[in-house]
Amino acid sequence: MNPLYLFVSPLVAAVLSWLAGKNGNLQKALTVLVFVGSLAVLYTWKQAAFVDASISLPWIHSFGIYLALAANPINFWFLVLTAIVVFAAQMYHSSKEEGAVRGDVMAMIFLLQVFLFGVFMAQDLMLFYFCYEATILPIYYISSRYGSPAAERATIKFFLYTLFGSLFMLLGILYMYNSTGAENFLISSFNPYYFSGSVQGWLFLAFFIAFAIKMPLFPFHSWQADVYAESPVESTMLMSGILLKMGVFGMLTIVIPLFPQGLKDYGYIFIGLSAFGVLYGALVAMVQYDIRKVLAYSSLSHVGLIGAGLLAYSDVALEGVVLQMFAHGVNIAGLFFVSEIIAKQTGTRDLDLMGGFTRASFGLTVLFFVFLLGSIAVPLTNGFPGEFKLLMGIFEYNIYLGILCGSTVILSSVYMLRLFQKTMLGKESGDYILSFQGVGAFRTVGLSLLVALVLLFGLFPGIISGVADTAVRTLLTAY
Amino acid sequence: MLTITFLSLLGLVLLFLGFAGKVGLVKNLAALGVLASLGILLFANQDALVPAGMETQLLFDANSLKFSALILGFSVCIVMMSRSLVKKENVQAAEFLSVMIFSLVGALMLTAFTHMITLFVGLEILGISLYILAGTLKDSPSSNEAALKYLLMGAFATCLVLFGMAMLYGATGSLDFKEIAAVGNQSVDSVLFKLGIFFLLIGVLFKVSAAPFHFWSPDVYEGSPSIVMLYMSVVVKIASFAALFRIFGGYFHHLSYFWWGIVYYGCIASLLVGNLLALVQKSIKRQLAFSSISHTGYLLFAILVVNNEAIAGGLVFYLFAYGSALLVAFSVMNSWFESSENYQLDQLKGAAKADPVGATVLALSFLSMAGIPLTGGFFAKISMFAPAMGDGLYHLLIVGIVSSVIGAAYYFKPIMNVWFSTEEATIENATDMKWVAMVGGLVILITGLFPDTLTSILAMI
Repeated sequence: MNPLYLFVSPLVAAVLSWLAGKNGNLQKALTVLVFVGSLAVLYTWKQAAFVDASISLPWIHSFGIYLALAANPINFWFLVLTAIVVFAAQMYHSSKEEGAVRGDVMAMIFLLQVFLFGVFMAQDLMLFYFCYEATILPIYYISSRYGSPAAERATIKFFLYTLFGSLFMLLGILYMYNSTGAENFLISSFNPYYFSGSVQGWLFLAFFIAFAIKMPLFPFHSWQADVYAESPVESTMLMSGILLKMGVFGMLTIVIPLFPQGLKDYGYIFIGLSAFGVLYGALVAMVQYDIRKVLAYSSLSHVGLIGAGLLAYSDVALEGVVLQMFAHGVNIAGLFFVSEIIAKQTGTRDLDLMGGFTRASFGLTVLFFVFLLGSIAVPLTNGFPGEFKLLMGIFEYNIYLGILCGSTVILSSVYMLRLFQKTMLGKESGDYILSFQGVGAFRTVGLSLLVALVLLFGLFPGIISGVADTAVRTLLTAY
Repeated sequence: MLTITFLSLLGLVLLFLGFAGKVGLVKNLAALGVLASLGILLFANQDALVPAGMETQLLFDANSLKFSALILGFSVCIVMMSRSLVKKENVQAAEFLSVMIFSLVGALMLTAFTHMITLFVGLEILGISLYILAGTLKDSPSSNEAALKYLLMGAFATCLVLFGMAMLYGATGSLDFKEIAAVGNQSVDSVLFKLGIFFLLIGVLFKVSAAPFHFWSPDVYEGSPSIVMLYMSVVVKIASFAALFRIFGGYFHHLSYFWWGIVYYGCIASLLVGNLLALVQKSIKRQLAFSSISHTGYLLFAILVVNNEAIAGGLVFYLFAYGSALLVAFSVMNSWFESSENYQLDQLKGAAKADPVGATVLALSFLSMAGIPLTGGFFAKISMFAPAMGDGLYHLLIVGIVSSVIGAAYYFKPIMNVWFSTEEATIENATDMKWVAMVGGLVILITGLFPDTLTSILAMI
């Protein structure tokens, strides 16, 4: 089936949801429709082994840019995750109380989905860049318009920071275009033999800074906590669940195959920093009192592990990267979702003022706990196989780094269980417990779906690795 | 030549109609006339009706036609937008419009000269008309100040140009650019020749307001009525860049080792000075004046690259993208603040609540100026960056992207004020002629999503 379908259907949905405005039921219907539709298309592609799932149309003659889109075993799980996280965010928004549903937010999220699909399916570097940059705009809009008063400042910082990084990538892309004499930007027309060792080093740095800021890896993370804390939760879910995966994806499909020498020359510096980020994020998460910031720093810690795995440059680590990026996306979206329900109900995000929520809703407690376990990477949850493979890969790379990264196994349970204890257990600290109305049918179904994913991919990680592993190995041996 | 003749006559006719008191007719005729001149430019043979002796002095080649078409196209819009200005009590509609049309004669000459005399006459016709236009608001001290400042600085720049021309004439014995360039090839060691090129370059850099020769422009832009500021930063910028490109991208291109370093550092200085100073401005016009300096910096990339044939298209694209963004932004802001001439960034707060259509279009135009994808400004920036990358100007490119980030920081201030401020709107009235603004926004989006449409239209000219 034509990849343009996946590209265009959220665009149509964006227009429709903008017209639907405050009509919550219509928005819910659109959310489900696009989610199911996207998954169905992705499923047919997978069944057909991605034959015919590509397209290449000339887009801009004067620059030699193609509208080249393709689905393949590598980007498949990124596309699935996009559909899931966008679904989660829209599910949250469309099931808000009467009158709080906004057509423009829904439309912007659909628009974001278009660009995300574009990023993950792009086979042309310029198209990739175009979509990569464009994803910031919808997020910027949602966060600034509907975030807290401090959000405006935080998001512009985020915007400028990421713009700074991605402009270096743009220079890298232009350099590649000029130096190879290829009259186009198609990824397939480049290979590492075009670039000498030192050039690969520069290109690695140019692309890495863009992706490292996006993920963010230590020490490029300073925008993260504020934006996550001040944005509306929909955009926090999107940013942590899927936007940062663009960085992982770029590393996986552009940097690793095309600049292996650059990775060898400079990677060791950043793998050390990433590994330090794992520890740093975990330690900072332990002492935060803002529920969002705990999750933000936990994300920094987990993504640090993914980053270290990417830079370790071995097949085990990269398989772990794919597993873990998927697991992290689902878990963090679920965690932000539930924590926002709790925060809304208690009227505060301060952990010290919360507690005893389990008395309000036992079901929600269970859901929250499963996401937590997934995030801690307990066996049988989706976090485990990925983290295991990642740590294995990093241990192979360097045992001391392995030990440093291994600290996450203990530390993540410390901060996550602290979070659970402070919110769900203990004495109830207010009368909000009694007034809790439940999460509503739509959210219950949606959250259960996410929880089911946590358990499903924990029990059967082979579903992911069966598709991704061979593809990842080919990346390493491509040239 | 036909277009130039037509425009001169049009200006005269409008002036006399104004004396006869038919102001209403003047307003309509001005826009129609400029539109007609665009038609003449595109469809009539430019070599017709050239007086004897002039045929070697003005030559409309492919590039001049493109630049002239941009100039006239934008002028039609600006003349139509100037209705709100010329209906003010103390503004003489006929004089204003006819002076503007006279200045177009100079602008067109700047795109097509082949001779130092035509270059100088073009510069002066454009310059003197602009001194008058800057002082349009006779009762406003800042408008008068702008006119005086512009006159003094402009005259100074003209002196430099003239000085350079005299030296070039002294060194080569010719006023014809082709001959000068040919002689220059042999007599590269002549100090007089080098000085001549140096002064000519400095003079023209003054005119395009490249740093460090930019000091006049923020004050002049701020003091002038906003239509005139728009005219200066769109039309005049196109004309002066056409001239700069014609001399240094064309005739003297092979002599680049004389002048390349000056333009290079001028480019870096413009990028940094323009963007950094724009960051701290509170008045929108002043901010846009500094941003105009920074765009001069990006445009100078076109002069610096070796393959000047290939970059001509990119230069036109950039000028179009920048001009259309600015035009759209001013068309919205002018209707928002009809009574005031100097609006501040803070006055934009909350405007999206009162006028969502105008606010959307305004946001698009600022995004385009910042060079964010989905808008024409993105591909404009790429069309400047890509050739520079081909030439290996890495340091310049890094300065370019750093200043793009700084640029984004201040281009987002108006967007943030318009869209994300919680304060109540203070704008006077919503955008009149919403469809015009919407067409403008659409143009920005189309050039951003399908830039080929613009390139193929330009290729037809």
